[in-house]
Amino acid sequence: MKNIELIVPAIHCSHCVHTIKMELSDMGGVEKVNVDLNSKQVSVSYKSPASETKIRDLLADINYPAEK
Amino acid sequence: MPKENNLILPIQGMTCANCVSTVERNIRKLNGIQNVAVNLSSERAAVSFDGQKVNLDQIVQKIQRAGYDVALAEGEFVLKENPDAMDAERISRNLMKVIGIREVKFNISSGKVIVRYIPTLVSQLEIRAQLKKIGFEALILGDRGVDQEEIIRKKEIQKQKNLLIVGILFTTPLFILSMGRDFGLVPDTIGNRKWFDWLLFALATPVQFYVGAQYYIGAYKSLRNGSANMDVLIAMGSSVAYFYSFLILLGVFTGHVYLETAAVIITLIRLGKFLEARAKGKTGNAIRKLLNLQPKKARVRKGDEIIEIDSADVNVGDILVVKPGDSIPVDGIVIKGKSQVDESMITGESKSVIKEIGDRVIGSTQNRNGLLEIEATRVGKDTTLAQIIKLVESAQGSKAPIQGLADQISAIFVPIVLAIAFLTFLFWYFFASVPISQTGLNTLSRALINAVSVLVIACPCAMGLATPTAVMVGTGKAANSGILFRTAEALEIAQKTDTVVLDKTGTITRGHPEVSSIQLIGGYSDEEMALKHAASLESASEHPLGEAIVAEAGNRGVTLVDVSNFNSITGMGVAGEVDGLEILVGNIKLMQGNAIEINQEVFQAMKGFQNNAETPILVSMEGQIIAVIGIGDQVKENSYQAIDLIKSSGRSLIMLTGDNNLTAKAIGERAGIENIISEVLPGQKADKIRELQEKGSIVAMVGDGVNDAPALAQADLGVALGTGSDIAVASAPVTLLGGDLGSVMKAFTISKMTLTTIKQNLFWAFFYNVILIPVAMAGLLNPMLAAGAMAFSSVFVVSNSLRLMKKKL
Repeated sequence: MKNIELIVPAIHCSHCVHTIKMELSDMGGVEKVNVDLNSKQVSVSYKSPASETKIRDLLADINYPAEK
Repeated sequence: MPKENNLILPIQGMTCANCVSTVERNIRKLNGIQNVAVNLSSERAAVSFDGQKVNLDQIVQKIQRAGYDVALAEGEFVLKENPDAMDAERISRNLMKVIGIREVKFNISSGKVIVRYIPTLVSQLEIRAQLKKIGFEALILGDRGVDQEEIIRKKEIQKQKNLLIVGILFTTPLFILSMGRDFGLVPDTIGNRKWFDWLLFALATPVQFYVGAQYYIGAYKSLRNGSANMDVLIAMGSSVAYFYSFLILLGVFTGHVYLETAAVIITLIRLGKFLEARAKGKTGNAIRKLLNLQPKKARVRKGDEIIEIDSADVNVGDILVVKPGDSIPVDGIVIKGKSQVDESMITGESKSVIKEIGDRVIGSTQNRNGLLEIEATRVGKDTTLAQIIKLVESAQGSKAPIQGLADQISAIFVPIVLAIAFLTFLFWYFFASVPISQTGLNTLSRALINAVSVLVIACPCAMGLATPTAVMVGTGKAANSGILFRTAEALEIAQKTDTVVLDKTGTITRGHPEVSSIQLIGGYSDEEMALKHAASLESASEHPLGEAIVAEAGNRGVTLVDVSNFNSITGMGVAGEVDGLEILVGNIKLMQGNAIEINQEVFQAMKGFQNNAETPILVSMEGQIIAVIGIGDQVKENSYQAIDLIKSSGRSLIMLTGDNNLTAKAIGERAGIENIISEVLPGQKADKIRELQEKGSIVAMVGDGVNDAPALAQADLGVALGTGSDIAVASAPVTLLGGDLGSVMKAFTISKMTLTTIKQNLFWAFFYNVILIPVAMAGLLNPMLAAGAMAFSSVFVVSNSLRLMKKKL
């Protein structure tokens, strides 16, 4: 089990929060997603087959790219 | 071959471009979606998909999961025939098959079907058509209320009637046989046989359980809710008599059977209920009268053609042709023609009103003598009439404070009666002397029968009817005279008011300047000519005082002529040439500035007008003053009588105005009001009302509903003078549609009459119980007589309320 924390600057409303949570939860291997609207922080707990790259790719894909 | 479907869905909740892509992406995730385009500004998603792989439900679910929703519209359809549970199931099943319908709900009692649907996929028209296809016609909105209520009422009466007939069919022979035996008319050889009792039992049973079923159901429901209503008393009273008799038949006790008592109780109370249902229908007559005012058909001009359509189908903007003698279908503005229109049905004002181009007309009023063309401005549920009806209906449904008392008593009444009945039984069973045995009367039967009498006589249903029936009739009667009570509370409080505050402008007076009289100066003798000169000149100006002069010329039929060299001098007046003569119209400064002599005669005339709180306007011709015109806000003709009436009712009358003391005093003197509160800023009016209330007055404030709204709200009773078309704006508890101050007293009178009726009703309802319960306890009241008396009391109360309708205002 791994945890990452990413900053996603594009988060600005609760819709964004909901979208990110939902999309990440749909990915195989993702166990838990937390999104904070104020700090724009996304924390993900995951195991294989999910990976940091896959998560970053998905976020970029849905128009919420994470900061490097 | 994949079946392709294209749908447009309204999406709710999208705020930004990210939302758009989220919705699109999520819909695309479904298998079978061919294309998705979401538009943020129109909030629509266009989706094309393979109908064999994916369906609408899945798409909607996906959108919901993404955190958005498909916007649903809600439509109410009132069915002509009341659906039963089976019908409802069928309607629901059929409608749900229609693409775009998401939910179907029912209100069985009012015959209403509520459909939630996706408005881009299906329309109300299509839903209506679908309903018709399966055999249910939906009423057009606007004419619902009535018909529906009428149908339900008729059904209720029919049901009561059928039950009553069954009750009478069985009870009459039962009563004759049983009484015949008691009085020895049936020979003992037959009467004492066991089968004779069983025959009576056979006659009593259908009455007990079929005709009386409603009481058992009502009693059960009431007891389950932890309360006890009149159904409990009737069910208990008749059951005691019935089951006691049954036990005797089975040989458990010996004694006299009381089967006819049980049956007569139920049948008589049925009779009362039937008469009550019939009379109660009449309490809504006033509303029905209003509803029937609306003409069914309208003539619409389409180009050169005139076609007749249902009034309900008229759209805003339609041009309607109204012939003399016809009713105007909807609210509108006259665009062609001139005619007298009778508005009495709405405003209560009996004088016809002249309507010309640009005037508003109210739907359902009657065109008298000219051909009118009007443009529809308000249709369906927005029309003045529809709003009046809605308002009256909600007032009729509201609770008068006085009803609280009846409710409180009713709530504890039934348990108390049950206790009294039980005590009655105990007393007669254990403590009363052994009865002289006659017609099999033993201690047990006597005790039971006396308890039954108590149960039956004490039914509080007359008490429950006392207030609402009177409120229904009272508000309805008021509405027919152009007086709208918004709540039953307003109806109750109106008669209690002891102080009436009248706003001056627009309430006592007409609210705009008018010419009062013209005084000629210096021997000039042609009043019409002076007016013609002044009005011709003023017709080019836009000053309110100028408009008053032009209006006066119009009223007197004076023809205006062209003006040359027109000149308007702000703050002073106007100048110009009329018929080649140099004319000046304005104040004293204008004259002095043009070196025109102001002599003693002119000063006298000016002073006369000023003392009357009017503005003097000077008219000069060729350097000579020829006339002084007095202009002021005039007291309405009907104000005088209205003020007298209010005063003679013993209420103190106060005029409230923003005018200065002098003007206010002059107007007050003319109108006959001594108490004046003047120089009040608009915002302070409510404070003045509060001051009066703090001194212990119960204040009715009469004013215009828009500007005086805070003061109307502060008063114990706010009365807004309306002009017929602005009911929705005026939010006062009482609205006088005719804009006539005379209706204020009428409103008080209706309130007083209604309250008197309520008090009479309550008195009779209580009195009845208070007097007759002890009689029943003493064993002096036969249960059958008790049932008759009890049925009569309800009928009496309803009839007494109906009597209100016939009283003169």
